[in-house]
Amino acid sequence: MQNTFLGATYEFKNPSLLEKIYPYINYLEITPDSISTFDGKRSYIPNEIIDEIKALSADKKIVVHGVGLSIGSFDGYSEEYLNLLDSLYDKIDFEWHSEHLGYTKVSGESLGTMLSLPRTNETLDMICERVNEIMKRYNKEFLLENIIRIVPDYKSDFREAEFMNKISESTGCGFILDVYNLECDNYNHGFDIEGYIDELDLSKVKEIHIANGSIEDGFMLDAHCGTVMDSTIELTKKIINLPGNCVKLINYELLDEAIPLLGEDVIAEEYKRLNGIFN
Amino acid sequence: MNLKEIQTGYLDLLKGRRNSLDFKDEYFREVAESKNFRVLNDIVIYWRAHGIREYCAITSELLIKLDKFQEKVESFYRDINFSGYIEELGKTFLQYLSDDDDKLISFVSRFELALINVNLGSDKEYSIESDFEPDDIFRFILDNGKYPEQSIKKFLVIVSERLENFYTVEVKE
Repeated sequence: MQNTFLGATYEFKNPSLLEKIYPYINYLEITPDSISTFDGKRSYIPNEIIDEIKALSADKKIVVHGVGLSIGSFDGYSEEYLNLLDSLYDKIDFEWHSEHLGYTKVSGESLGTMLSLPRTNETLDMICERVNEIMKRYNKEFLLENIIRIVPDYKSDFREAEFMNKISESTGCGFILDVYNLECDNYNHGFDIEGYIDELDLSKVKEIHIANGSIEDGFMLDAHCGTVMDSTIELTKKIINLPGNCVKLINYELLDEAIPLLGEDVIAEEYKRLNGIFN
Repeated sequence: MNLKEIQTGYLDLLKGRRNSLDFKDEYFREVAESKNFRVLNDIVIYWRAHGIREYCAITSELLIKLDKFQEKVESFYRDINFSGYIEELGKTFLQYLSDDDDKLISFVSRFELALINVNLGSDKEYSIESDFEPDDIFRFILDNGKYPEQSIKKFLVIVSERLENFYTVEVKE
């Protein structure tokens, strides 16, 4: 079993919660899109937040996880997101950065959600070219994450894990394995989790995401609003005990909106529990 | 279908520009009619509504009182190319409502946009005309006052960082 460490997503809005979970985490995952502000012309990350990240990086490892790159848009990825990443890259020493294997924009228009890609040769070539560009631009390890699907996939040439493996073989990128997303896909579409994990190149999985969501209208949704289910913990334990995996970080994802619903003390207890299981 | 056609298909479905009958591809015909798509659409609107309520609190409160919040969020999602960044989204929503046919909605969205701009450090002075007595509007939104009646007078609301409470009201003769 690898030595794994627990991480938390932090948006720099709840210092009192950070203080409570601080003893239980080794990594902080920051999302450029969520910590940026807009001055009427452009989005940017305020200097105060960059200073705060710098201060935290003395004690915790920093990883960067985007949501706005839209790497799968046919008409190009988001330069606005890369501008935010540029501003962090110049000033913060982060371990690696990551994005979702999906897209949020089409023809320059925001979908308001993230959709999965058809796993075709056309998509494969496009994604590999873009991953190579990004890895060249930042000279940092880059990970891609599996996303949840509400609507079934368009007909594809590759299986899910086969597609991920091909991207990694061609570019050298790694993976975030979102375990809760696998459970959602299983619940919503009967997705074969065992088969996926058997086929996925686990030596490329550097990070695991765990979370909880809600069941709405018969669909399990990745709402990131609850404490982690036993099934998610068991599946995660199974993966990190499989030979060949290189998981370093297990990040418990919780939206800021969920904090008042759960309460800071409950959340701190959850980090303590997860720390006991995974650290 | 190639990647562009597939992605444009999803965009058009979500924005309500095409329905199932507009697609030759069986996949999109089925998706458009599916519960999956309805749930996806609900999620998209839910998160836009959430962001808008957080960023545009005054206008959102007015729209809720008028029972128009959901309708306006949905039409905004369909008609406008908005940003994924909350602050941009909020401002775009207020700009979208600035030209609303309902003069009350138009005034409140302009007023809130000016307040936000001033809060963000704008040194500009904003002048917003109103057919309603502004205090009546604020009482309606914040204190459960009665629906404001259109006045025979015209009011000019000035919003500026130089003013105490950031705004003042002048009566136009």
